[in-house]
Amino acid sequence: MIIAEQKSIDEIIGSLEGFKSAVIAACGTCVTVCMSGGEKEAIRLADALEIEAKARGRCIKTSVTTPTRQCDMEFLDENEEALDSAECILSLGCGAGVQFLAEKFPDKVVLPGLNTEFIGVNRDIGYWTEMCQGCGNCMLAKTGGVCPVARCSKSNFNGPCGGSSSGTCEIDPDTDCAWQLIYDRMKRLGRLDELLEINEIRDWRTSRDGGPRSVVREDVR
Amino acid sequence: MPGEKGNLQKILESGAFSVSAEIGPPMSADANFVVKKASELKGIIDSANVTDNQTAVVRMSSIAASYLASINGVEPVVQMTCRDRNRIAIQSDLLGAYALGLRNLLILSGDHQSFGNHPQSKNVYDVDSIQLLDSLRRMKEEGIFMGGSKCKFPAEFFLGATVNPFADPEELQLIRLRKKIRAGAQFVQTQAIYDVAKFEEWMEKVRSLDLHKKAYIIAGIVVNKSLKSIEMTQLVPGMLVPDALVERMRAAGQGNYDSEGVSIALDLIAQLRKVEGVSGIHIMAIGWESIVQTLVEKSGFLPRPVIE
Amino acid sequence: MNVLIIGQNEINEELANYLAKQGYSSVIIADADAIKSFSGEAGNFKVKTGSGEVEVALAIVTEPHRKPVPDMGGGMPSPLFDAAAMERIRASKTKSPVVVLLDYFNESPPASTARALEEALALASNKVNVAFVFRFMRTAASGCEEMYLKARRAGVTFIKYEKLAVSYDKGTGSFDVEISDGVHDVDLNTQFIATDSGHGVPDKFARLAKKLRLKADEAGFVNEDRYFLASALTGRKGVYYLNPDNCESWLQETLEFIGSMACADVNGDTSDKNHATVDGDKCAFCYTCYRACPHGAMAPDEENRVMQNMESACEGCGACAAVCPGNAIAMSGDEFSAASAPGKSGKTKIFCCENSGEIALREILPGLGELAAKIDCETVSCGGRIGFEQMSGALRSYGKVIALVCMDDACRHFTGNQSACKQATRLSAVLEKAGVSNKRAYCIKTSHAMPNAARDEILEVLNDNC
Repeated sequence: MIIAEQKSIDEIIGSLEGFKSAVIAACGTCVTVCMSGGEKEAIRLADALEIEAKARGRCIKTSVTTPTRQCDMEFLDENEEALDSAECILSLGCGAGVQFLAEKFPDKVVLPGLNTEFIGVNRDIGYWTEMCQGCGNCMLAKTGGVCPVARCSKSNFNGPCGGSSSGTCEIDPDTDCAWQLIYDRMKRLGRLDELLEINEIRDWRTSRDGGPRSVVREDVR
Repeated sequence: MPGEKGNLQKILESGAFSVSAEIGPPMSADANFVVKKASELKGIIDSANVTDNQTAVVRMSSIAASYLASINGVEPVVQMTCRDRNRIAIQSDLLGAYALGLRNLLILSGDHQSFGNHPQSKNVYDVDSIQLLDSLRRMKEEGIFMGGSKCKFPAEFFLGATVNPFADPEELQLIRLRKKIRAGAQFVQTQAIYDVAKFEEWMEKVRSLDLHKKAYIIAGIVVNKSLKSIEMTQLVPGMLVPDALVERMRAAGQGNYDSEGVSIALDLIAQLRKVEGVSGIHIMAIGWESIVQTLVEKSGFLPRPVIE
Repeated sequence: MNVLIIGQNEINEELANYLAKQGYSSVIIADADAIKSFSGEAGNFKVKTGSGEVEVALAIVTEPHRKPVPDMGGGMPSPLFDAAAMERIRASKTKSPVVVLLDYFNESPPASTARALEEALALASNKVNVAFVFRFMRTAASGCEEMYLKARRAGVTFIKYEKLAVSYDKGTGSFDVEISDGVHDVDLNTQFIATDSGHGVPDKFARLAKKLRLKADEAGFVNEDRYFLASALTGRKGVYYLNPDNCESWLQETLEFIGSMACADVNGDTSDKNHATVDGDKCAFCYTCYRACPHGAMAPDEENRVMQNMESACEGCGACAAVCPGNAIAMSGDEFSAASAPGKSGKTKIFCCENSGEIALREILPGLGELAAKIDCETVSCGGRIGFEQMSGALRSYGKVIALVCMDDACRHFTGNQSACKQATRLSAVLEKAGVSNKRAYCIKTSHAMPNAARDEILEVLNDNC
């Protein structure tokens, strides 16, 4: 799922400058699960904004509404009235949600309340890690199910760099070296020989480098 | 002359034992800095590695500094990391380097930018070091760019790679070395070696895979000037410094650390040149380039051979 | 009724015989890893193994909790209570200290403590230099306190630590012991370490605890040593733990205790008890409550793709409601009063947990005199129930808000107290950032038996006028 983190109160209230009311739009899917933009966090943010606004001698009236997903227009339609009930919308969706809300309300300012971080997994309550970069050309079959594009700091395709030490990455001793993980997996699976194959230079057109992407499936349209 | 081999390649191919050192470009546009370093090394080594924004700190470009070294009498080994350039920039820069007469190229991943003075920067890693070696070998052999189009007048570098014999897991590191050589590395420089016994064990494995016959293995050493510097080196992950050497430095006592450092380096060189499969020595005298001459002289490496 | 016995332990057979006499039939799964999943509630657990599914009413875990041999960096420690080892130490006439190591993350078991002290005392009396190194020692058991004082007088050095590393040098045959209490570091070199087996948790046990959703502390121990949990209780109704360390002498009593608890756990009337309800429309089916519930009372409803609360397993603590990111969980008879009540800006709101907090506050209030009039109290099931929004909501009317909760290791719901403190810290941070006084939100931990320290803290809060 998409992992996101809430922006600082400072930044959020700064972006709300000039507004007297805002609808905080939570999102009921990914960002609920990663505890950054669900209804609970939206309510807590509303409280924090009230405290902050009062301290700055301002008054911002907030309300909370929670579309099941901000990335499907039907859910936005269902919540249209609530979403349209204030001067601006503060979206606690990922970047996709913010933009879809902006599309739905062309005459309204839609502000982001989160920083969208990565596609990742839930390792424990309050602990998420990056697993996928959406590069558009999955090579996990060759690397024992551990992605070097997303999980190696240098996106090395052919083994660890010289900075890998005792299984950790040179940039941070708390970050696993992806190639150590790949090695461990391949060894366990008895497929180390496959690592001898040189993974040739990547065609990055499938990734963001090819420009904004879209997927069109004629068979289901 | 286009196509003509460089000095380092000729020395190694002749079977002579190569001797090389390093030139770290300045953190400025000061050409004299490089000229001075080159003058200290001229005539006493076969080639000098010119680093590419080492530890991700912005410095004069490796290619420009290499050119300055070459016109001042020291054959450079251009270094190229995968951190800062995409395949367009890498190939373009390397065509330029070759056109300037530079012949040796060492490929590295590059230290992550978080270590340097621009941790805010975006890194590239469009290609990794093995892919780069592979592509440059193909440019040489097949005359094609990475994108597949023909290159009429390709850059034909003498290609090098690096290896750390003490990094773990050893099995994976050996896989990686085999890949580097298969991708196109003609010479391989090692991380600094202090523990010759451990290195000898590693070379045994290298020899059993015949890797020393497929690429020239060049042993790296660091010269330490102080007790502190050898102690710090011991703490660097992936560096194996036996306690005995640190003790030896300590026993020399204050005031004698530099001469003991030289003596340790001389012993290491003497041992390493005897290791079967080692084709040369690479001296990393970080911030102490003036000592290289002493080491080379006392090791009996002078005069350097001239191969026509 | 079926009872499941899980684990590799010699007492399993004896246990099964005992259960048979009580009219229970036993299912023994010796290999804890054979269990694939464990779901349901007391009286009706479903256990999936590689070879099928079995239904049981209760489960007793007998898999040992502690690693048999501590990591001694390659050297072999002497077992505590080993006469031969004692003799060797005496005979060696060693000048370096002998290390007696008691490595328990929670309180050391009374028997181990007593014998370690006994041994240290005996060595010291023989003029051996002894360092008694421990992480968490309990001397409350009978005789221990006295022995501890005697040992100190005999010259035993006691060193409490947070971190310990032992390496062994084959050449010299000695151990290098590095100890840190977080502030000071001590290095000891010794030829002898005497210790028992209280080191860490075997991976197998940790995996089992995870599958059975038994709360474990940072070190992985199921909290058998917590004083709110009688030995054998695990926090999940219907699942009991027979600690092999203790059960030799206590087996009979422990089993009788389990018997009595089992009756209540299976047949207890839970109809008027506070419990959680999940709003299926809001539930994101994210498993956060499932992971957070200290009592294993949340279960997935696969058909409807929502979480559900198993009422009889639920202890009503509200940890799930506080943590639910979708705001989908409510507690029946929820405690929180309406947030806004004007005219109370000079007063302080105290949310106290019904365990330590409420009991302590009852002791504290009379001693506060007139200041007591400045306090409004509200009892909640657990500190874990108190969210950011409850505290910030209270500040709309009140000048200050305090969460009064249990000490660590005393929270009946394991970490509810810590959760309350985190919420108070979060609120304080918001207040501070807003430039408002951050001295408005507090979390105070108290013991129910010794509330004086908490009283002083509360007084300080009440008297602070900024």
